[in-house]
Amino acid sequence: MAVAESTLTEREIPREVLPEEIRNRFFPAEVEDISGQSVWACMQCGTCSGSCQFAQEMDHTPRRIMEMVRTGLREQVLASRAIWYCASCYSCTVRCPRGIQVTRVMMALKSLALRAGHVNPRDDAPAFYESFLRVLRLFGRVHEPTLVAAYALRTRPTRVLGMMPMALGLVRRGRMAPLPDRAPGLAEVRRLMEAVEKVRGSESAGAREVALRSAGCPQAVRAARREEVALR
Amino acid sequence: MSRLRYAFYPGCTAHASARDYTRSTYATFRALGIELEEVPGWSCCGSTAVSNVDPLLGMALCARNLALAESTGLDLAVTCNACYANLAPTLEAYREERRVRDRLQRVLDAVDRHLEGEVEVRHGVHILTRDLGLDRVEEGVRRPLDGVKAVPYYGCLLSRPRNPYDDPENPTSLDELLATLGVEVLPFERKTKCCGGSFMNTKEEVALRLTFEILEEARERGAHLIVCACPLCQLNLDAYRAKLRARYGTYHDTPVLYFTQVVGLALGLDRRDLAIGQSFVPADRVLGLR
Ligand code: SF4
Ligand code: SF4
Repeated sequence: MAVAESTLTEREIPREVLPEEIRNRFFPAEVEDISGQSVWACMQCGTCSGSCQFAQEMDHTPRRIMEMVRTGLREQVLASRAIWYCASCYSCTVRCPRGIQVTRVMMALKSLALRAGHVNPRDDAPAFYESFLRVLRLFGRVHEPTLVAAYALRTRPTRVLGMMPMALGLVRRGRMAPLPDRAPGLAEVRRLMEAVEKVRGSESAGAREVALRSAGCPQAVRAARREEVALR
Repeated sequence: MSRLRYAFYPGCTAHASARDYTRSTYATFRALGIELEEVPGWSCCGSTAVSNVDPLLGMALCARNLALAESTGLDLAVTCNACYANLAPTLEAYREERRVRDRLQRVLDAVDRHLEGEVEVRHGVHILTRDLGLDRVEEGVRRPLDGVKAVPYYGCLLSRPRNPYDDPENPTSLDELLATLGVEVLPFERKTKCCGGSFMNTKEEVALRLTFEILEEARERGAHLIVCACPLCQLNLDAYRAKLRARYGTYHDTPVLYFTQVVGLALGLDRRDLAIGQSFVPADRVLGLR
């Protein structure tokens, strides 16, 4: 179920200007803005949890995550193991009787967790995704050996050894390009990545002010305005 | 009947590593009279990785690729499920969610691209089963695959979040396509279950368990062959057999082929043109090629 035009933004509201209580109050709106999904439509039926092949690995099931988002338990949700056990398989999404794309909610939570620096250090998934972004920025296309090597170096360099048999197998079967290949439009892809930051930034600043004003937090409003001016 | 033509988006995996998929796609589609023209200047669509760390960037990468495809005037053919499940839903959101459209338009403006939203995204399976039609496929069959028992593996992302023809949990397009070739298609409960492939690097134990369950069901059903429609599914089901044996004590020797290879074989194409033999588990025995 899609949300109405929204108020809040994808960028994390800065810790220093916003008391935790208010950040928590805006957590559902923040999640709705990024995911395009209405968390308030959830009726807590548990279909998502029952459909999730990974629920048994999670510390909070998808249904519980939905409720925790609504309750504003920002820190707990963003620091949870659960969100990183979501494989984006869309099983929950196709079954949710309220039409909520739970997968997109999970994606929004992962992106917020990274921005907020809330990531569980024992989980390697964030490092993998971030390595992916890095390779993308370098080449515009993803070259798997480079990705896997970048990821191994970030997490556990000895991993590379364990990956060698597989890599050799692929090379032997002509299924691995030894060198990365640049997308012909690489410069454009990089400009696109910058444009995404700008669109996000300008929206954050304006929308944040509205949200903060309605929360009755004058210092935060002033800080957000200063930031908006700085962004222009 | 006019020839079918598409702008083709191979995606990073099929382009760089799963060359057997790309090669067999070109060979089989050509044999069926379908022309594919690679989208000029395509980049990575972001896969699920980018959507997970930056949903807006994920959609922006898709929007740019969609705009490139749209400017060719052709519909877009995709053969990787992960690309398909990224490109098609982004297009849908672009058409239907105003906020998504506004943001993406601003991003596209910055790189001088325009997306009207008129391009269609088609998965290779549906190009054969719907655009071309099963009758036309059947007309082309020279070497029916009678006696071959197969299970179709759709994975998560061919039928989810949605495609226009299949039930998200019990899709049948691939079943129908294989049956047209003479293959005995076996029921397969895990046809859309997640194989955990995206966790193979980060949570190996979970990924191996799910992969094992899929291979185990295929074996129990008596399948000679697993047929898939995605380079990521193929790699995951094919390449970790030794690790699975070490962990679970069972070795699965069921080969995993792409639908493009299986169709091509039935059309009578040369196995070299279909790049059969590049998978880890050899398929020669079951297909009686030796
Ligand atoms: S399936 Fe939908 S309505 Fe039910 S608990 Fe999950 S998100 Fe809420
Ligand atoms: S998309 Fe994520 S939360 Fe939903 S069923 Fe799949 S793994 Fe579970």
